[in-house]
Amino acid sequence: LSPTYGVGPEELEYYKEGKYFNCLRSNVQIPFSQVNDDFCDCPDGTDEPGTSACSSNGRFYCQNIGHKGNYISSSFVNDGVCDCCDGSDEYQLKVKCKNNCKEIGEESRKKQNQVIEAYEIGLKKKKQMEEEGTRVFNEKTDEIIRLRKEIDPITQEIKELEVLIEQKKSERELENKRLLNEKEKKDKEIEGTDQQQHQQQQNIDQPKEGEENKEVVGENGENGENIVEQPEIQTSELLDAISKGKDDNNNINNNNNNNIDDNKNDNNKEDEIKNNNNIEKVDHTTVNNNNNNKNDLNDDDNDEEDNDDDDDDEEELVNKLQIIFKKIKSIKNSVYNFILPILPNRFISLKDMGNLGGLESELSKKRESLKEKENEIEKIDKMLKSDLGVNNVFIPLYSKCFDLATKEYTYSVCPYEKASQGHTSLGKFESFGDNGKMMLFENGQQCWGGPKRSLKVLMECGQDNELYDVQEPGKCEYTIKFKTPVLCSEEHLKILRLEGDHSL
Amino acid sequence: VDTSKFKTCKDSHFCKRNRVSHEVGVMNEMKSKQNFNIVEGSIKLVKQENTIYFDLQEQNQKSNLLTMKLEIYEGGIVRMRAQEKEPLLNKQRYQVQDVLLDTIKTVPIQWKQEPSKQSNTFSFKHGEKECCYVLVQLVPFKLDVYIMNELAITTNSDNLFHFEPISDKPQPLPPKEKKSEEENKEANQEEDNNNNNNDNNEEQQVSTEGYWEERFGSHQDSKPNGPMSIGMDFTFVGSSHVYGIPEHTTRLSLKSTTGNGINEQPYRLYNLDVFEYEIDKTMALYGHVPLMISHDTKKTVGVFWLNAAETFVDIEDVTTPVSPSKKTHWISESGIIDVFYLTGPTPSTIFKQYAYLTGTTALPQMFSLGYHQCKWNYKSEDDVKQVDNGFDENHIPYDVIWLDIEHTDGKRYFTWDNNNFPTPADMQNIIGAKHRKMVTIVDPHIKRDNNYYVHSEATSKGYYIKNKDGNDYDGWCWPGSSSYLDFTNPEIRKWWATQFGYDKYKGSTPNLYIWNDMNEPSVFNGPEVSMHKDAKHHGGFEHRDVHNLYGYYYHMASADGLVQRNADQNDRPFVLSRAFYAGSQRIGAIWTGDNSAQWSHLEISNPMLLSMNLAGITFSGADVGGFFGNPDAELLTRWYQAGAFQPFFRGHAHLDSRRREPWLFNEPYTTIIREAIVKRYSYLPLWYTTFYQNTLNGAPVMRPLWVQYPKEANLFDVDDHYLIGDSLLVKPVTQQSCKTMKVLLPGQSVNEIWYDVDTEKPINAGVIEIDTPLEKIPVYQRGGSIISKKERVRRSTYQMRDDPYTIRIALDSSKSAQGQLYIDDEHSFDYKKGKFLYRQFTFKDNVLSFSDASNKSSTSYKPNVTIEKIVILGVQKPHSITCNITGKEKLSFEYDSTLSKLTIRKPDLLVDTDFIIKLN
Repeated sequence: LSPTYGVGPEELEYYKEGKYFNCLRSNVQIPFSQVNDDFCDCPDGTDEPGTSACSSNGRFYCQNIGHKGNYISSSFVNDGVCDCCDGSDEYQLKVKCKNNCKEIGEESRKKQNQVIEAYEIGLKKKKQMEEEGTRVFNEKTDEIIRLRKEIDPITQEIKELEVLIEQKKSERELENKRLLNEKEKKDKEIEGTDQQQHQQQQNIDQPKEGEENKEVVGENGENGENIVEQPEIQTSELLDAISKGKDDNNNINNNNNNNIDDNKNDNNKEDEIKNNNNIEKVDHTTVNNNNNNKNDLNDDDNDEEDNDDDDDDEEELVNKLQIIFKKIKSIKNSVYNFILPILPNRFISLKDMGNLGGLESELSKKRESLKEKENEIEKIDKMLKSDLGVNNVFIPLYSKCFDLATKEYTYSVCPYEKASQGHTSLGKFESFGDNGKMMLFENGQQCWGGPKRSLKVLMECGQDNELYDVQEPGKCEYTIKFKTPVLCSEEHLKILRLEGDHSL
Repeated sequence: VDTSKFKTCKDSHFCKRNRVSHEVGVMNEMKSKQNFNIVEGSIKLVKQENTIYFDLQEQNQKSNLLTMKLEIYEGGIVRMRAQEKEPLLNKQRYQVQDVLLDTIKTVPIQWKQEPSKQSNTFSFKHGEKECCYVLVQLVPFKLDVYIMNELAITTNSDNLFHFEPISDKPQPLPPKEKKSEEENKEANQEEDNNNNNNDNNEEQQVSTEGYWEERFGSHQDSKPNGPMSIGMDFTFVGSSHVYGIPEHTTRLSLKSTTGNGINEQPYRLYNLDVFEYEIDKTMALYGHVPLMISHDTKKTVGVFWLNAAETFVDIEDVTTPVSPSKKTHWISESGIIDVFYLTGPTPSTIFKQYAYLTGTTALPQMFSLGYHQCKWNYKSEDDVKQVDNGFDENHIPYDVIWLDIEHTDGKRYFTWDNNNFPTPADMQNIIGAKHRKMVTIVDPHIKRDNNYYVHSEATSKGYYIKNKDGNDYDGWCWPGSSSYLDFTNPEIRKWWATQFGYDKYKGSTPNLYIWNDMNEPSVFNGPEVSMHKDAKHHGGFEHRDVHNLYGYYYHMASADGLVQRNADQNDRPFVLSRAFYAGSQRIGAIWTGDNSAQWSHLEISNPMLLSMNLAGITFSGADVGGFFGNPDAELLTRWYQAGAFQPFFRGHAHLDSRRREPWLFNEPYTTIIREAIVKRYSYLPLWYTTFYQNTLNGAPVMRPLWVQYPKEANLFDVDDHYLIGDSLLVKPVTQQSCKTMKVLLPGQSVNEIWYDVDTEKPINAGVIEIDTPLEKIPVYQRGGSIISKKERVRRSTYQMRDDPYTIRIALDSSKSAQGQLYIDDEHSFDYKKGKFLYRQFTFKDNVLSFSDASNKSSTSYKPNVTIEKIVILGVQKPHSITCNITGKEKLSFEYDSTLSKLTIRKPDLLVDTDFIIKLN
């Protein structure tokens, strides 16, 4: 056997005939006659490139002219199985190997070209995805700046509106008091003139409202004997009861009261949400869960605690304000309602009430708009802060879903979000792994007698974004392959092209 | 394991009745032991039958008359049989069939002391020598086996001989005379209904409870034949170690179950499918061999209890006047008393005697000694191809890929899932192109589906086991409602064998071999996950009579099928079975069933396999990695290392377990696992030779140390070390995070030297402490041995056939060594016609000679394989080396003085030529 049999082209120079042979990868020297003599002398197996003597670590080079040369394990040499397409590994003729390198080579080159073509298309698509990604990224960045800018004036407007409403409310309070007093006066005047002027005179001498009240009660049929009642106390008790008891509001039945009810509901909702947020903060100090579904008003999905805190402060403020506002409103309304039946129609200032309602609805509109913008900011912020790959190449996959129908199930993978097998959750998006070649979904539906379901999406270069080959290598631990242009790389294309060149 | 699903002695009434001496609080009358006496004048020697007959009668029980037969078989085996002298015509006791070889022969009996009126004893020789005899005592009956004039085994010395005569079920007497048992029962029931308890009645109920019917859980046993159990005690005099009666998860040296305050369950022998079995339990498992071997420094003897019914064995340490002894109590539910006394007196003679009775291990095809890759389940043809390629890509040798139940069309065996396995023959041919094999599973339960040809044919032919009412037995297994073929019927076995024909088993090819699972039999909704004992078999016997034989017969029929499918019938079968019985070694491989991915299960695999090896089941293994659960990389790696040095080497895993092909755990694990498998393949000539030697001498392939060093009492409890053949000592690492460990190198008495096979350094016998990094498999070659290896790594065993040998000679303290090498075509029966080589290597006085080891002077087998390297350890450097073969007069060599290691380079001697090599 020639000493160079089975030697690869890049190592040929080390197998030049001489007295000694130096083992290539170990510090051992042997007589050159022992190269390819079917006895393993070098610990690294390099003295037997053409035989199976160093089968544990040696390698044999198939020249494969017409196809491409490659190394096989020395253990495959003369083992009765044709491994090289030129048949050079089976020279002991235990088996007749055809030289079919030409056919295989042609086939392979065709395939290789197809692969390269596909790869090129993949790369083009990847560029498009990058472009789209960058465009979207910039748009979103601009949008977030714009939104942030828009927030300030709205916040200012809200503040102004709140002050205005406050003013209006106090004005109305005063007006109501004035009206009340006026009415009292008028009533007294009327009573005084029409009925018992003398008695009225006494009342004027002892200007205590309670007595008047007492009088009223007395009129209703109790007694007129106890004169030392304190009507002021009664009034403040009443107010207390009104401000405390929600039931009192239920009696109220006009337009304005709807407004109050709305406010009350909003308030409760916000309390609830606040509670939710607090719980979440306890449960997931670092992990952040999407709260979109639960939460209309407060679409927070912040990665940072600061944001949470800001939000909370703001919310607290809003809450406090609303509570105060509500108190005032309810006092106002209660008083208003209390006196309404006795007030002559001309005193009811419906127009004023309408104006206040208008302001309030404008305030809530503004708040809504603020909330919307804040939500939008958060959404964009979340996206921009995600791992979007080099040149934002993953952005086109953001908030998209991909399906794969097998005999039994339809699998669905939504990058950055979730994955499912039919109606069964395979998990929420957790992270990228394996240097960006894998998407990990975890904490899916609990498996009977096993773990929570999870899915690894193994990504590889492809022309289109496409799922295939679902496996369940462990109980309820799934893998799925995902062809995507994202994974195509120039470097690998170069390698593919080189391989293509070498195969000639 | 859910122990409530399985019976203990207390749950089996026959055991409870027999074990009276062990149970506390059982009725006094039961405690009085039965005395059996030989009827005076009944002893007669029938010379033409080589048999002594006599009658045996239970004291004060005129009705229970037994007839007894005593025989001597070639090689020092005494057989004793007992059954009713006048059995009822309508009822019969089962005598185990088809287990003993039909080649066994009795020898003439020679009296030592003839029976006479004057004497209460008689005796006869069981061997050639005067010192070795059997002494029988008439009143009370006792049978003692003497070896070298010393008492070795006593029978019935504790009067535990128990024999419940078959009787007809007592008919109820007229209602007014409430005396019969039945009546008492009825009376009891009535009273129970009235919530009245009568002590007297209760007592009587205990004494007859379970006689004519018994319940376990929701299962009813109708027991139409009533009580018919048997029992006997054997005491191994002077012994403190007994072994055998596999399969249990206890240590190799069997533990005492009773006496001295010990209150364990007796060892149970009843083939069962035990889900998630646990370690150190005397519970029954999948298969059993009722052979017990006793060993002490003076002798090795055995008792073989040939009975296929449910059997319990109690073991107790007792002190006889002379020495400590092991008393054993054997109880079986039905069948005759049929006992073989193996008189030894050495380990090697015991194995010969047992093999003489039940046969040796069928010589495995070489491929089946390679590595087997299994998983429940490889899902599709693509999956199979990928796994197959995975081995080549990772340069890991393997021989067989396995398909579990999911490959079938709805668990109809002999069919394929058309979606996932549309072209099974092509798939097998792809595997076969690399000379690898495929194994598919075929279980004994048949899906009750009229469109399934096996079922419709079996139904129409009436081949199913019948339930107590005479209808086809219907039980639940993998396919759902299933019936079970009656493999105790030779006609049905024959029919079953034809199912493996290529015309019947569509999609099967000569590359396909078979795996028999669930053959205890496993019946998911049956009592103890098995068959109802009152189910009816061929010949009118009940399932209870033949239970432990069912899996054996099934295994046998399947293996016959594989032989018969080829026109030339010249391919050795390979069928792996889970259930087994005595004699299963003649059929095929056995594995320890559904173990778990736990260190304790790895650890126990060695004692379990050693126990099976002692009982003849030598081609056996445990699932590498553990069937249930997920081993971590370390456990899996250590398991591969252990499995590589166990006889049957297969990785397997549950459906729910994660994939664990050897390359899935990354480095360094892939490399270390590869090295373990490569080591396995390099020692295949040793494995093959050792299996061949078993066909000559019945000796275990995987051998407890005491077998090789019977005088070294410190080895009698050792079951974490073992020998492969007589030359390679292995102590696999079976502990987690094991950094160092002690190794006991035996043979101090004979100045044994051992050579670490990795470092090739010599070590004197004794206890050493070694480092055990993950890649270390502690393996030592015995000084004095010559081991043949094939050190070229190949894809599978087939590619190694023509590879040259490396001969490793390890010298003992007298600078000599010897060993054998067996070679044949590795797959056919031609070796039975003399087409083989059995070579003898001897190294003595600096001369290595290579000659024929067989008695046949010449052989037609010429494999054209050479020896490429001879390594001699513990030798001085020679000036030159010469050979007596023309053209090879001078051989080149290298010498390593630090190791005293001589390597003869490329002698290139043909393995079939005789030669002499001299170190000058």
